[in-house]
Amino acid sequence: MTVSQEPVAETVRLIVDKQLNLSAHGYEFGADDDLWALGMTSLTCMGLMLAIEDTFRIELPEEALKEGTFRTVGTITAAVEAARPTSGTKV
Amino acid sequence: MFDDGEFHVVINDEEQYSIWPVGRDIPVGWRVAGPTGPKSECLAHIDAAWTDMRPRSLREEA
Amino acid sequence: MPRFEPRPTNPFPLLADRTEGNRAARDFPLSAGQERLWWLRQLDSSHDQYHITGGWRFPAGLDPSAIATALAGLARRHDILRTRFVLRPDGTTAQEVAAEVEIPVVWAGREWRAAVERAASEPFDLSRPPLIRVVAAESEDGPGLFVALHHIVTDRWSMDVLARDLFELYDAALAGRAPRLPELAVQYGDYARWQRRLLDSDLLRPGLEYWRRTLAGCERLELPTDRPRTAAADATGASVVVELPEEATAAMTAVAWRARASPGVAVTAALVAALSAFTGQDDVVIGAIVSDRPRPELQDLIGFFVNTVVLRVDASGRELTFRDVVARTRDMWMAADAHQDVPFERIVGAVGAGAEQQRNPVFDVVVNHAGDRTALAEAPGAPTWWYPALPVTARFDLSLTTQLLDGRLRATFVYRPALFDETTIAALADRYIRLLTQGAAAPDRPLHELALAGESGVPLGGEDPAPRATVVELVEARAALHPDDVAVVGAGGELSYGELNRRANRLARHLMKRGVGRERVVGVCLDQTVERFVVLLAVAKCGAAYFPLDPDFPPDRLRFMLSDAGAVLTIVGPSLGHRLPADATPLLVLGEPDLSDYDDGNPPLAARPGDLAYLISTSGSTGAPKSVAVPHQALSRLVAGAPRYLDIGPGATFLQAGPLTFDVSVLEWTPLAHGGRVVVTGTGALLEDLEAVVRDHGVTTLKLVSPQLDLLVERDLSALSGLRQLVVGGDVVNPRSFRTASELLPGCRVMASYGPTECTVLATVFGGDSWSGRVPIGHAIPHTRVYVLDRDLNPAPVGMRGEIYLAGDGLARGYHGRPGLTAQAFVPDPYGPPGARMYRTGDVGRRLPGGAIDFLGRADRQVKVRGYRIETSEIEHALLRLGATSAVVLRAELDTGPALVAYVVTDESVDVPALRGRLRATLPAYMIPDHLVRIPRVPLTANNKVDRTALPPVTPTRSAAAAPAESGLEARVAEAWSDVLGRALAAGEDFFDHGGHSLLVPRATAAVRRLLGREVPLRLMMRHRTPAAYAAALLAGSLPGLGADSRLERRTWHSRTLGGERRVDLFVPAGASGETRILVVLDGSEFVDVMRLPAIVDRLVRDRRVPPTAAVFISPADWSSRRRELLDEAYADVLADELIPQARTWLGERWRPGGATAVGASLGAVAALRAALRRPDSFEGAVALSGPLSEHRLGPAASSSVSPARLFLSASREEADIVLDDGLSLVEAVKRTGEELAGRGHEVRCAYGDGGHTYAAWESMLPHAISWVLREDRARDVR
Repeated sequence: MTVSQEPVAETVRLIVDKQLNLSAHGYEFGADDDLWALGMTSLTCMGLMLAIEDTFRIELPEEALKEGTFRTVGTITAAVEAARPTSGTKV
Repeated sequence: MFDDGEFHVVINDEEQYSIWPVGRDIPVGWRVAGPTGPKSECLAHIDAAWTDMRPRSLREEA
Repeated sequence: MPRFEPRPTNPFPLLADRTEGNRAARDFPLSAGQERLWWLRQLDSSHDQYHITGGWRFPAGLDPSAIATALAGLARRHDILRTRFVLRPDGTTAQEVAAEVEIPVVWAGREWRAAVERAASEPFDLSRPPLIRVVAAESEDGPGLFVALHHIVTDRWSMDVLARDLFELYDAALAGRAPRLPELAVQYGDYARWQRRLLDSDLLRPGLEYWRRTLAGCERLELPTDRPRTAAADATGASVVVELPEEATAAMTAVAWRARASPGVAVTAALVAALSAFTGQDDVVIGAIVSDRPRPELQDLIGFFVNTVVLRVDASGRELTFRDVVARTRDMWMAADAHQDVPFERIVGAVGAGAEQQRNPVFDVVVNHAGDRTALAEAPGAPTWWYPALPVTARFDLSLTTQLLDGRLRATFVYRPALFDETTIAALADRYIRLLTQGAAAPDRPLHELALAGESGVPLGGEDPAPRATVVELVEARAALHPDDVAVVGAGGELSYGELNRRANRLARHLMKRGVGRERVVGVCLDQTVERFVVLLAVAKCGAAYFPLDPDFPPDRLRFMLSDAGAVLTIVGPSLGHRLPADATPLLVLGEPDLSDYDDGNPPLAARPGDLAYLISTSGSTGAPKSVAVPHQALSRLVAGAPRYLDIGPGATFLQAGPLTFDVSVLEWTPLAHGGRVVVTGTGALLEDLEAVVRDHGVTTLKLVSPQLDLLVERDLSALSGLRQLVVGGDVVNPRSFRTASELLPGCRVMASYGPTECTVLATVFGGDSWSGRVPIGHAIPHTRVYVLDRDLNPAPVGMRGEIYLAGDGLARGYHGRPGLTAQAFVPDPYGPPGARMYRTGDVGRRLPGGAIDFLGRADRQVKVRGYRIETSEIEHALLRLGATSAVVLRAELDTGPALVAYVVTDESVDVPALRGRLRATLPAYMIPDHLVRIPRVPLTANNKVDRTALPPVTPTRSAAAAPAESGLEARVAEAWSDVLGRALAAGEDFFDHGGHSLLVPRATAAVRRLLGREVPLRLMMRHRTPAAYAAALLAGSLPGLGADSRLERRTWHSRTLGGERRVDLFVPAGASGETRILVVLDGSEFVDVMRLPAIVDRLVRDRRVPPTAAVFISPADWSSRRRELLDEAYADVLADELIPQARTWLGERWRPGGATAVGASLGAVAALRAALRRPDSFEGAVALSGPLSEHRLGPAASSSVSPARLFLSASREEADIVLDDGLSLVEAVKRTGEELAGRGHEVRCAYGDGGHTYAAWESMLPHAISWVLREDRARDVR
């Protein structure tokens, strides 16, 4: 999956959608929708975490490693942005 | 543990030889005394080196 | 970063069933998981393993009408509670939703315990909803409500939903308001249908491929059980619960996250590591339960939303850390999660794991992580959960359920007590918790460095050093104190201690003159006479080592052994001199040198503790010689400690019944050192002289090896009643023999012993009762240490298997002249004093509670057969318990592939095939040997081990698999099953080994039902898994159904033309003499056994619908030649010229001149018609059922002068789908042939029925056919 110039939130949204098969199932979800309620399990959450780290080439820090981080697209985006180097260059 | 992997050739104070798997602490009273490598290599060394299988204390009594 | 395949999306829409208006029964398919549960219920209806229970306390009390209203609302809301599960005639299952179903409540009041137990354990009839039972209770703690459901309609998540919905409905009922519950967009049936569409599509093919690939070559995880497995199924369970404290749980969670895994993964990883240690296997295959509600619409439903997946984790690697195991487990979990849509049955079918009746396919251990999903009903004042105590049931041999409660991990191990003791599981659970705790604390340390053993691993054995006095000193001391006591007695008279010592002294001086001294080896080849000890003692007095030789070995071999040992001299008995090569070493023949001039006082002590005392060869008559060299101190240690467990002091008389070349003979030093007597004499190859010897010499202490005990127990033991002690050595001691000996010799202490030559005869002894049907090897003898170590050389906890290592003063110096071999067998002892060694026995064992060691088998005696790892000693034990005297089981590579072969020694009264049958009743099917061979005795090597090379080879019978069907029934069953499997299955092939699985059984059975037209139990297929066996089973119960005075006789008939002996049945109806018509029936066996034509004819004759008619049924000689025979145009002639005359002979005066009527079906119909058309001289008519009539030339073209035949032709309407070679359907062919034959002037009747090309169809057509063709009036009738 290539990372484009799009904002982080959009990329996160795409990754979440792909990992959790959301729009394929006909769901629409917003940045603040609870992913657990939409059917995310701890296993799919792990897959999501790996995909996020892989795509953004980051390693989430210890304090981000909890369920709360992955609750919504918004919380994930925040964690990603916090973890990325702030040089502003394209990843 | 003794089937595959790498081993040390070891010897005790009675000058008896044996082998010990790499990566584990060598038991007290034994020390490395030869090559480290696959079992066959260790045993070949021992076959050549351990010529008198009598314990040292027995040899010295004579 | 590895890429993970996502789970394929189910592309079909999940829609609610919109059949409005008609609220009558709607039906849906079952989901894959439900099908599995349904099937399990069919297999075994007596168990309640799949019941889910739950309960709640209602502190404010239970209002009956509100409960009733709530339950009614619940039933209306959830279709699944109104569902019944049915089996359709075509073998498919369905779930039907009824319009209205009431959920009754049992108001048990204070007598609730019995009601609750009943509700929980009584089997559910899955075809009678509701599959839920409700009990209202008045417990000591207040009112409570208990529910029990069958798992097919619920799961753990559903219980939370049930609770929430029920309470809301109840509250609403109490308050008189409308309940506030989320709308249900779909019902369970809709989900099942949606899932079924996915399953029937192609989308799961990659998933099936994944499973096939992942599970290829996997073996079962073999849990070492405390009791052997039996054939009986037992659902009784017990549990062990352990908890991880809060801090450790948090640490575990953190480690999990850091490894990018979930707590559930970490919990599973710890189980994988613990099981790996428990079993000694590092390819760990377990099952996992996954809760699966992939869409939000499903989250508020009650129903069974659970998938079973398989996790195969590689736990190998010496430096494996906890983090490694977690990562590997995570990867397997994620892949399993992505492929969980493939139903478990299909996975089982794809890997050919079959359907083993007594064991779960693929795995016996299951993990179920319930996570921290908190109960839905949490509002303050809400009812709380109530768990009345109920018996535990075990669905698997071992299951681990984990949950997070208040930040603590609670792990519940449920196990089958029939297999495991609580201590064993407690030890496993303890290791598990330690793994989690320490693994979480140090995730990057190799697991083998963690302190995982807990209490158990203390090596046993006496620690005080052995006394240093050599046997020479001890015997000399005895001789000085009691010179006149008898030391040795037997063949050749007797020797007192004094005499023995004096003679030995003289011989010793002579030997010393000839250069025998310390570290010298002297070969000895002696007769079994008292003189023997003179020699052995003399050699020892020189400080030299004696080396016993087997006189039966070829001289060349002896020469090789002597030179390899560096022997300086060989001493031979007078009669044995010629056996030895003259040029190997100088020979000294006993008795020849005159020793009378030598001084008979004790020479100076020569032997020091470190000097060699003896060499014993352990390599048999072939291969590189390998001799164990034993120093005096090891012998001293044996001798010094012996009185503690052996009765060999003054007054005792000791006998061991083996040759000098077996190290058991070394035990004879023990009585000599302590003042007892030794008997040295021949006892016969089969111990036939043993009883006489025991009696004549007053033997008190007898040492045998296990096969010898078995021999004696077969005979009468009463001659041994004077024994005070009997010690049996060897690895598999027959527990029956052991117990029998203990019972029949009440004054005798019966013991078992164990010890390799490398540890100087004995390492352990056991003197107690046999334990769970096995005889342990016991505790270490003095000055000996026994360790049971796991693969990491850590002490294995109680109950866990490991390898047996021996240490202490009993160790041999090594293998004489073999430094390398010695070094790899005698390794450093990490648990002994500095510089100590331990000997690797290569035996597998475990510590029992109480400290005794249990011998589990050789490490190399666990064999892999059929994907299972089998402990051959377990099968041997089973055979011994069933009556075999001795048994050896091994894995053999035959032409047909690997096979399990069992050799048994039994007395004549034991029927070996019956033994096999009894074995089937006690052992699981995969452990049943393929071949059971009787042998007269178990051949032993020089080392007293079983000489496997001397066992007779097995010649396998031609592989049954490729063999063609032997009868029509077999062939048709094979065909029916092939259809169901979608691939060809031969009559000898096992349905379940070729892609079949349990869920196909109803369909396969339905096909057979259709074929036969009668009920066939589903279960039959589980026991008879090949078409051949199944066909035989089908016929086993069939009765001829004849009236009195009618006869049905089986004969054999040999045809000159056709060759071959064939089965012929003759039916003669009751009644007085009088002329009898005759039917000639082709494919006779099927018409007799399956379609029961004799009974049909019998009835027709009695009812006077036909004149008296006999029948001769002719079968093909073998099924493979049937087609050729029937279609041979000359067959009609054989029938006319050979069979009919023969039948005439059999019927005698009842024979009516005139023609016979031929009867046949399918190809037989063709032959029958031909008979009538070509041989009108012999045949006047024919019955032809479902024949491919247009494919074959039937009769001569023109036949104007021929008298008309009566011809009955029939077909089933469904046979319109059978297209013949010429393009006609079978029905068309019959019709046209009928018309053509009628046109030629024959009397023809064509009839069409139902049932297809099946026996059932023909059977139902027969009465009509027979009565028409034999009817007296000859009205023409053509259709």
